[in-house]
Amino acid sequence: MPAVEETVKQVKNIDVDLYKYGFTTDIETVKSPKGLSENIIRFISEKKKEPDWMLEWRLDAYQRWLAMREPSWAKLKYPKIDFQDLHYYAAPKNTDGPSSLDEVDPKLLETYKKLGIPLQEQEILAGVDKQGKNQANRSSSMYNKVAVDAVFDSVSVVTTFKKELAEAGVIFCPISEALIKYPELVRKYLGSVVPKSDNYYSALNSAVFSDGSFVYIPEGVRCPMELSTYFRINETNTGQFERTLIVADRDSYVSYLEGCTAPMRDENQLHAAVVEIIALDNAEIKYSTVQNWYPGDKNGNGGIYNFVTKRGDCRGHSSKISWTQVETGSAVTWKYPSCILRGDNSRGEFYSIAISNGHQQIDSGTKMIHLGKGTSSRIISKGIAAGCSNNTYRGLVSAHRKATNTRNFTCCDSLLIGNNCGAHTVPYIEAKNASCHFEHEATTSKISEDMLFYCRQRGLDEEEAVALVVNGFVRDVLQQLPMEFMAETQKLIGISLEGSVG
Amino acid sequence: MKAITERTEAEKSLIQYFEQFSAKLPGNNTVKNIRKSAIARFSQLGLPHSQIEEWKYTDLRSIITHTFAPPEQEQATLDAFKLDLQLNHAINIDATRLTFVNGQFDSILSDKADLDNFDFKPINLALKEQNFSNAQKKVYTSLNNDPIGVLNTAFMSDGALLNLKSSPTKPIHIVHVTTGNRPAAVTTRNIVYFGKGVKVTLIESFITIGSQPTQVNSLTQLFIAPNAEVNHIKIQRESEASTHLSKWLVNLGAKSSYKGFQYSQGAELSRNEINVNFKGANAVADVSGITLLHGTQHCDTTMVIDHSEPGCESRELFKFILDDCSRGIFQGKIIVNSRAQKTDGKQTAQALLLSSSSDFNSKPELEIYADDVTCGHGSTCTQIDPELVFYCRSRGIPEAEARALLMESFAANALEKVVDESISETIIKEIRDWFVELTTCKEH
Repeated sequence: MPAVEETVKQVKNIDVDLYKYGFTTDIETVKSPKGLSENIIRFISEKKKEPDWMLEWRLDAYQRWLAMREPSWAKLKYPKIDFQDLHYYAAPKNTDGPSSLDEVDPKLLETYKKLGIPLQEQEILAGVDKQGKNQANRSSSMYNKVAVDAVFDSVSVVTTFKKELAEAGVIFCPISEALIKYPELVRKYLGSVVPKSDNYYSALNSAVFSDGSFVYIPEGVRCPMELSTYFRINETNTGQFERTLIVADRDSYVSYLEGCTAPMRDENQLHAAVVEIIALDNAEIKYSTVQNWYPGDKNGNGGIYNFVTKRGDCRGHSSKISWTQVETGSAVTWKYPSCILRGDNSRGEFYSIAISNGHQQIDSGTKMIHLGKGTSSRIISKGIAAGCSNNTYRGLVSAHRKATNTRNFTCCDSLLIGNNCGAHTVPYIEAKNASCHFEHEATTSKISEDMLFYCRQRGLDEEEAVALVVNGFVRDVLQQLPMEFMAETQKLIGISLEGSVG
Repeated sequence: MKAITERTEAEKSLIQYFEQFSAKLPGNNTVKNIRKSAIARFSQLGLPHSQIEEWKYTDLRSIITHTFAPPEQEQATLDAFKLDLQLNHAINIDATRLTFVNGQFDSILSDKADLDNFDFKPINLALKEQNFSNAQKKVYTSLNNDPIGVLNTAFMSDGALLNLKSSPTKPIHIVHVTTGNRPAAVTTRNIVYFGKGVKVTLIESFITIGSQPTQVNSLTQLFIAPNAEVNHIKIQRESEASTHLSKWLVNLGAKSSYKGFQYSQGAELSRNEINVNFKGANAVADVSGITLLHGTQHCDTTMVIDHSEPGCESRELFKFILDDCSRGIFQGKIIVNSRAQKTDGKQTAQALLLSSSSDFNSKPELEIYADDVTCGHGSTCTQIDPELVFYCRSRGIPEAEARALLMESFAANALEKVVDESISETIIKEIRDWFVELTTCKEH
């Protein structure tokens, strides 16, 4: 069954040439010279006033990176990246590290305002407020506070609500600041989930990462507000290499959001991030991403190359990590948010909606590695391909020999709109244990005739009926998003999946 | 990535065997040249290893440490009685039998009288004909990147060439027997043409008699003309000292129907590759299989269903029952090209793990470029539900029996795909024997 008209329209609305965040900010920047060498790494480390061990750590990662090859197994085609033709550090002038709101360049504040991320604390009541109209209908109880860490090219320009968070004992700051203020915490956890030499891009990131967020939730604390980082690439010929580290100590809870945009440029830009999250006993981390990097123009020129390593480690028993991602941007996406379920009875979740349009290529999915006893995981992935794009789900579910009584349920659906795109599913299921219970399905979401009949009987026409049923169908992913993102995402996605292929 | 790798001993010896035996392998000069380019290609490729995605879970380069020479051209020491005994179950199938002993056609053990009814020729004779050998060039090129297919081209000694223009009255049963007196590598190729509208049941069975290690490389090509209906069944019961590498290449014409079924129980290491290509619109392919493994057996079923024509339907259903330290692998891939609208594809792989040391890897893949299609896949993996066992036991069924019953019901819906009752009965008997063996082993 081909896609209904409504779906087609909605996907068109988010087509590549309608990219809203493609403006540039004219601001003076300090850049490192082009290219990558030990000197550049020293330069970055010095700029950040990092401790010595960090510099050594970076140099070691660089040596490892030199010995590695670019992975070629993904279903992605892009010209070879010249890693020497990039600026590895770019920062707006006068922002040597984080500062209070009053010190932030008004141009930057203007930029974030334009992006719909108001940085003034009193205005953040409505969170990431882009839906003026929509939100008018929503009850005020839905308005939550959101603390934002705004990363502009290579540096964090401001972090809001620091004081309020500090009262609760929560550390939320740029990682460069954390390296100075809390070196023992960072040192303990950095690279413990994604080792330096985990893969080509993580090694590169480890060598040159410039900024990102550090979150530490102490024992027994439920983080009082949503934490959020907003990444913006502005400068030309730069790569953004951010590093996020989130640690949730015993019995704590945190919900973290990540958003990203970039200006429209003809050349491709590189973004290679590493996100490590660690949940100790009984802790819960919810990580949501709305990825909206510039996807390139209609003909596939320009756009961000997004090579991201995201991994969560359920280190403690009964811990829980949940990834939710909405992927609509980037020319090339290579991203597999994963969970290592190490603690007994820990739980991993992955909810994803990936929409590709124009000449975008997405190769994304997850890995659920069951090591502990009684661990469970759930994967819900919806892929939608339109235009000349290719959309691949690639996932691994594995159970270790000793991981008894593990459970996994995977459901990945995809939908194609038009005949020039491709939707692919590459699931790997590895069971080394008789007591594990793995189910993988890709339902061909043909809407049941009964449901349609029921709706039509009550006066809805077929299109409406389909839309209604489908809305309920996508809901299981949408529901996972924090309220602030939901409205925006719903608009982005409210997409039907009938006629979809597994 | 072009890394020059050191060839393993096994790879080197394969190349050496070719030099030693190529003169004795059948075929005219054209064939000899094809064989030469094939072995040259093999020396570039080497044995497949885990870095090659299709061989991710079956690393032949490390598993195969010894290779064997093609068997000597000896007069087989096999008589009809001995063969019947070996075939015990399969013998019940009333079929026209074509027997190949150690990769050589054996006319005495074959049903000659029936053979006159259709166009049959042993491949070793066909390879001496110019027309046939010219056609093999194309086949060779299409297999160029498959190291095992390339080896098959280099070493193939015999096989059945069948041209079925009308429907035969009985099923055709190709029996591949390996005597196993001494270690040997047996390489065969079957090519079968099914004429328009014919209805045929084709059975291939693989057995070994002796206990010496053998390596079997078998390639079967089917060309199914429009409107033909083909049932294709493979029963693999080789000894556990053998390595079994088989490949089916199936080409389907418009509105034709193909039902393939593979029963794998034998061989220490087996790899069953199935490639189905839709060459005409509105054809139907239904491929299924049952794999029973114990000990340290390793069985890899890898399948590619290529939908390049519109309106075709494909179904796959594979069941694995894995005991001890055995390893089952399923890799299925459905490709739907942009012109193959209205495709309906579904694949399912299910495993029942009986032991905590057994291992199941599954990769059901979809690659879709057309928007008006229905495609799905499913894969599950679990153990026998203890509650179901309890239910049976509470009704007076002993545990072992209850487990066998549940395993049988697990396998049953794959077996239902075998339409010919005499064949499905044969297979169910095999399965039950396997269960009995399983429980007696456990009791001791």
